[in-house]
Amino acid sequence: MDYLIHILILIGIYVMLSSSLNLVAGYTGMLSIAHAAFYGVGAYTVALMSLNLHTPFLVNLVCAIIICGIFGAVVGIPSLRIKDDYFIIAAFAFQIIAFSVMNNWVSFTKGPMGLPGIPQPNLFGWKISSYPDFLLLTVIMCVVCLLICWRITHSPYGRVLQAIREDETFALSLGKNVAGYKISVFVLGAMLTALPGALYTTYISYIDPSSFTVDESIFIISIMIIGGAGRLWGPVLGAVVLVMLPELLRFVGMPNSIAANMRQIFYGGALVVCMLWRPQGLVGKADVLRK
Amino acid sequence: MEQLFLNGILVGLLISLISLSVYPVICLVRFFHFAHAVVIAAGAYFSFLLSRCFGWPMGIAIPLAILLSAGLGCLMEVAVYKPLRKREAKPIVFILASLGLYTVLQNVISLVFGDDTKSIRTGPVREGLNFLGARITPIQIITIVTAIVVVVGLLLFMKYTRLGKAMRTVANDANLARVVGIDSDRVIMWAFAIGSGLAGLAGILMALDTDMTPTMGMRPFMMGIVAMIIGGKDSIIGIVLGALLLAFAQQYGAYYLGSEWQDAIAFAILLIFLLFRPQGFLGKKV
Amino acid sequence: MKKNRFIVIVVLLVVLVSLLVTNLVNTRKRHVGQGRIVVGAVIDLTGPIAMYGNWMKDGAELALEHWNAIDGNEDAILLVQDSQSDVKKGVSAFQYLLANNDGVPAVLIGPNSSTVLACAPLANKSKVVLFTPTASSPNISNSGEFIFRNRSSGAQEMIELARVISEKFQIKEVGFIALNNDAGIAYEQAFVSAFETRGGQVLQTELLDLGVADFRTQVFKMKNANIDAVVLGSPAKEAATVIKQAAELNYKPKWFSATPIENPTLIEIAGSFADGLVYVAETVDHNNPLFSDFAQKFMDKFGYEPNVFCANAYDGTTILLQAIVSSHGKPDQMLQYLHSLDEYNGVAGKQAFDKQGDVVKKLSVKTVKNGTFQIFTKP
Repeated sequence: MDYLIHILILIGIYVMLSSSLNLVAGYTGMLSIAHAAFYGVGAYTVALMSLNLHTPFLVNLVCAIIICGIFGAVVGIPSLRIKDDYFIIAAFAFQIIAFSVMNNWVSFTKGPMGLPGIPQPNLFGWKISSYPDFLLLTVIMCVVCLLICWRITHSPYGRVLQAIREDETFALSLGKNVAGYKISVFVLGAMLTALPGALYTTYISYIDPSSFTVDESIFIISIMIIGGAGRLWGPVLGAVVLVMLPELLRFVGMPNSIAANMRQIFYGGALVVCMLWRPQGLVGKADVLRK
Repeated sequence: MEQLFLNGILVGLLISLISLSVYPVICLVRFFHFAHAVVIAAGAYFSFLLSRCFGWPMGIAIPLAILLSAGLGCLMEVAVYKPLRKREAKPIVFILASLGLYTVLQNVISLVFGDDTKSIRTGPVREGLNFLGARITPIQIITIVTAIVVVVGLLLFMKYTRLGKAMRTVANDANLARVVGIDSDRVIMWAFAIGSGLAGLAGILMALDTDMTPTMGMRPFMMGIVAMIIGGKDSIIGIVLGALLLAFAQQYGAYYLGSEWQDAIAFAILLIFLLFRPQGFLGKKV
Repeated sequence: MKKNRFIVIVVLLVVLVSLLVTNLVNTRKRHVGQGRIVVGAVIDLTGPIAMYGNWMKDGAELALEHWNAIDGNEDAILLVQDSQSDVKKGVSAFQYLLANNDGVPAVLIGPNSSTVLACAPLANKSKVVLFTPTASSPNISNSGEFIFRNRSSGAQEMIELARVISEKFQIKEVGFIALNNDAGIAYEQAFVSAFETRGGQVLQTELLDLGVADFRTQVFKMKNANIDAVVLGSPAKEAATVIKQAAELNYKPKWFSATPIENPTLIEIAGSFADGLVYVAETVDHNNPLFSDFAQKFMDKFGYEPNVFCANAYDGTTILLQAIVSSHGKPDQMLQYLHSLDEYNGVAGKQAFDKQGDVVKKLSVKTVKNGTFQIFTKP
């Protein structure tokens, strides 16, 4: 049973990560490869605060949200001067630098040794320690996260975002402050990653920089794309499928010597096939990914 | 300190070589072809297969390995990218597809050859030759010469041959190319062939110097991309200058700051360029 | 249209979930029904440290084969899961094995220390023995009573190396080159503190990033600082590349290192320049008939010579199987059994476990001579 709950919690973490990315990339059209870096900032904030300052979980979470927001602004404001393909590369560069700092600033983050023994959260006297407790926390966080996303995308603000994705010049000509919209949604997306960051840190109770690499960013993007960018349920479905699929493959019997590589080949192959046949993802609108 | 300078030149030229191998491809298809990284490794492993497993002499194995790498590049173009282009997919679709390709092919290499280090070097390790107070090995000299030949060759090729001119036309304006009767699919196929062949060559040179593992291509590929952006992606000379700047910054940065910051230095330079001079060194202003 | 798609998605989800559940139930039946012993394994078979994972897996598989070949032994199987050099994947794999909890009382894990540390709280909670023959992080020592390892921790080796360098070689100043990952940093920290308490000084530390093959700048910095003794806290491939590139730069300090470099790769890459390297290692005694027999069988099955990690995995698997049988899979009795082992005579030498579950094993000082690994006699 714990195994199933564990899978559900992982799915929850990725639902939040890819939904927050969806706001930035799916709705506004800024594909950010720096998402795992924000996720890492949130996770490290919670971990370092609870280990060094022994502050309660809620305080850590709020601080993590604020710090992620600040980082979002620091990254977002200059990057917005950069257009299209180059934005992807700029975000990529931030991702690499953030990882490098987490990995090499040993006196502060303990570097590659990681931070073990992160205490479990305590919410208003509710001590979260068992698997069902964590599942409940995950569900609460996911609901909050999805509600925020839903509220944003179904507001006038959200409609402007989509207009920017479709045609930035047109949005400008309507007198919209495009830069302001872009920065605010970028900061918002970064702030939302603090939720999964805090959850992951306290759930696994051990973090090291290897969980926040470029590969992780690419995985989050894949979830969003395969699920369907620009749709509320796209990332949810993507997370379910992409987290569960490799787990299902555990049951497929293969000789050990080739199983590992075969699984990777299968995974990469699935990505290629999906891009060839259904690039808009499982529930996406076809036009989001067309020129 | 002569050594540090020489290292900078060497690394810079190797990055240029890789950057120039992606150059024809990216110029024409306008997305970051990640699977190129695996072609670099494939070149090395093809040469390993031919020279070590089949026992053929290096003189035959290396050209054949370069041809096979070129073939691999073309295969990717035909099987994946061309259908995507026909559908007018967004760049992100290409990038994800090429990441998928990278994963598949890299694991095929691991599956066939294993994850451990393989070597095609012959003869014992020797001290480098003394050259103006610095040390240099024969294979490094070969790398330098090859890189210079490739740079000059590519410059001449793009400027004077029909295919090169056609490539520039397609890169500048695909519609215009169609109007003047250039078959852009054929030109792109050639770009993949040339680029992948050069990638294979770079892989073999790297393997001769520092041996091979299935993941050896990714990092040099990323550095190649960085060099290309800071150099300006339309100019061969710009790319070479970008690669040299990158290499020197990394070498001297590693020397004075600490080697663990090499990646951060490279990407910080990239960011500075993206923010203040997005067209690169010699790129045209857009 | 919209409704149809919704239905398709719901059906897809239901199928996925039900597949997962039925499979889970089936696996459980399969393993328990036949009264077999099941040992789980969470091993990094892909990713940057896959090489170690595969050595470990081969050792474990051979141990299992030998166990099953002995008459009277209860049939055993090894359930191998790939953790892909990724902490989360490792925890998922471990969880999957725990879902077969009726049958998996013990799990072999490694070589990624981070994965071991992330799985440790779970193992303690669900009372499953976690046994690593490969992970070296010193943090693992205090990660709980259910975590064992039969590889000497990197810290133990570095403390011994600091003693050897300052006492046997009378060297007071060294440089340190470490791989920039948990294992490498652990080596560096352990060595620096041990060496400084002996009055020595680490003049310069250089780090090598994973997946890089050009270390000339790091080597050149050492050369330029006129350091004539360098400690390498990295696996064989990186260490060998450093030695080779140093030789090409005409830089030949006295090299020191630890267990991971004892691998043919070192000689393949660095050639004769590896000669004279002195290192502290867990000894695989080639004169020990137990080991030579194991090495022969290993060679026949896998086609390469086993190293200390293969041997550790072989011993670890055998120890776990014996522990499971003698304790009938009861966790507390298993702990008792493991702690009661006194000089267990394995293919990798005699071993016992201390209170923290770390192996107590003889470390020896060795050297590379004419391309072979030999016991070091005199400076």
